[in-house]
Amino acid sequence: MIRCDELTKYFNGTRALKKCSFEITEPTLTGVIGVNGAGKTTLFKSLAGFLKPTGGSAFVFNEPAFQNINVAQNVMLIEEGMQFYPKTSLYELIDSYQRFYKSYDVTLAQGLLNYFNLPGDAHYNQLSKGMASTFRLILALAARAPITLLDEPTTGMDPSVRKDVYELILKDYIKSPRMILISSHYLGEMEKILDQILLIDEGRVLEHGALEEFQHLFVAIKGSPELITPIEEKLHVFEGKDFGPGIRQIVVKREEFKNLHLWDEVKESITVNSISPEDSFIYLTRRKGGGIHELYDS
Amino acid sequence: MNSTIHNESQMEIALKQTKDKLINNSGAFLYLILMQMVGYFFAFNAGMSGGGTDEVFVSVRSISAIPLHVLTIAWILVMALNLAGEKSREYYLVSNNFTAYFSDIALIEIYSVIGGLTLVFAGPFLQVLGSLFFDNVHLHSDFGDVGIGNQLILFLISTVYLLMFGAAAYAFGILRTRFNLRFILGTIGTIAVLIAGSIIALRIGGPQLNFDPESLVGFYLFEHRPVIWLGKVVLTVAGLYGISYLGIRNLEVNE
Repeated sequence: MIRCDELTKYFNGTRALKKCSFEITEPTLTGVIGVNGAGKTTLFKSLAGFLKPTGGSAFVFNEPAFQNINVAQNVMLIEEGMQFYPKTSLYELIDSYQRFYKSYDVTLAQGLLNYFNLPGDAHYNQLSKGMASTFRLILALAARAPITLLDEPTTGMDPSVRKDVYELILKDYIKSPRMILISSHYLGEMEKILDQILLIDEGRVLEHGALEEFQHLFVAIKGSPELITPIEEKLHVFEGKDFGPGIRQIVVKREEFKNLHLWDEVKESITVNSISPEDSFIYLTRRKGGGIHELYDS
Repeated sequence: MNSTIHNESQMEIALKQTKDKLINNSGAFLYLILMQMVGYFFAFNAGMSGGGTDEVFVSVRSISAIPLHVLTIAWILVMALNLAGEKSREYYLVSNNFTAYFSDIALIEIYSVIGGLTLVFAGPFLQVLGSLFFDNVHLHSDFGDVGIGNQLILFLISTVYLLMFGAAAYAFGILRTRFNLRFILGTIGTIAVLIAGSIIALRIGGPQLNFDPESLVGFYLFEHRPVIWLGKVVLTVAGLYGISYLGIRNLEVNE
């Protein structure tokens, strides 16, 4: 069980997390989505017990996470900046990890090393960026920790390997269901494997729920400007663009559009489409000041 | 949930961590050998005098074990600073500040014992090495004609001094890791205050006021009462470990 109650973290006066609250109680594959600097890594490090909250709390298995040995032995965190002993081979690193994580699956780790053509006797520092990411992922999945935190696990990987990696995460999750949290800013490529989305922006949780809910958050309404403009005036428009002189499209929140009760009047003249979770993520986290279109059209 | 939740004690994890650090820092013993080889080299070249006639030339060379001791101390200083500085690796394995601290201390103690043991054999080893190059080798009375009891005391003293240096370096390293720039600024500030204080004290107290740095070393080295000496070193080591623990207690891992 993971629970954050108004978790807040500052680094030398700079806010990384601000009153971040959410709870995960069941085994799920959760995508932690946010732009660079949203607070994803800080959240993961807080859950792993590396960081002391400035305010609020992070609980894992109903215990405060910071420097808690019961939490540490049941949480596996990987991230790009993690460090290893420089003169240790990949085989030796796997051996080290299996001494600490009691459910460690060495056979799986070695099988995956072979599958991804990683030289077991090489040192971690000798690996390319993509290979190092693959190795960290292998370490994490084979640990079989009840809570697995994968911070940007596909950094530097080729597109073909990334596809393989997401399949691997899904397979592993099906075989050994547990709480797996994957952070990324590329929602599009991993949405197929996720159960839940935790959207973080500027250190706060913007949305947390099933992927389907996220898919239905926004709608794109397309029609003639005479029909679209009145809607535009009543709702908060996340994006608006013209497709030639007679067609305009706006993106609004589905709930807000439904509350206008206009559907019966205009259904013959406009088209309403769902938008992808990736686009929903972009609209939710976009900075103020309008989109690129407004910048060029003004 | 299919994954099993584990609850090993802190002590079990700390012992595993000690073993892991020993394996991953096994190069430390190679560095010790290398440092001591350099120490032996300097020991042989410490000083020489000679003289005689055309037929007979007598060479007298004094071989000193001091370079060996100095380099062994340098070795433990580097090892302890290393342990204090590389704090983030172990946390990605299973760790918390207590287990990290415990395993570091255990490793410093192991290093001190190994270092102490090698220094006990330095005297006889120097004699054997000397006899390879010289006709007559006489060992200094500090090394010659000593029984097993003296060897044991020599071992104990070497180990405890290494431990003290190791603990001091570790405390320094932990404070540096914990407080980063503030520690460096604090150190510079302290030095500045000490210098300024000395100048002011000298102006007020006059030239008769003097500080002898040897008295600081003498506090330990010239203490001939065994129990008092032991008390001094144990308290010093405990104090240094205490400072290290306070430094590491709420340390965050964020590199």
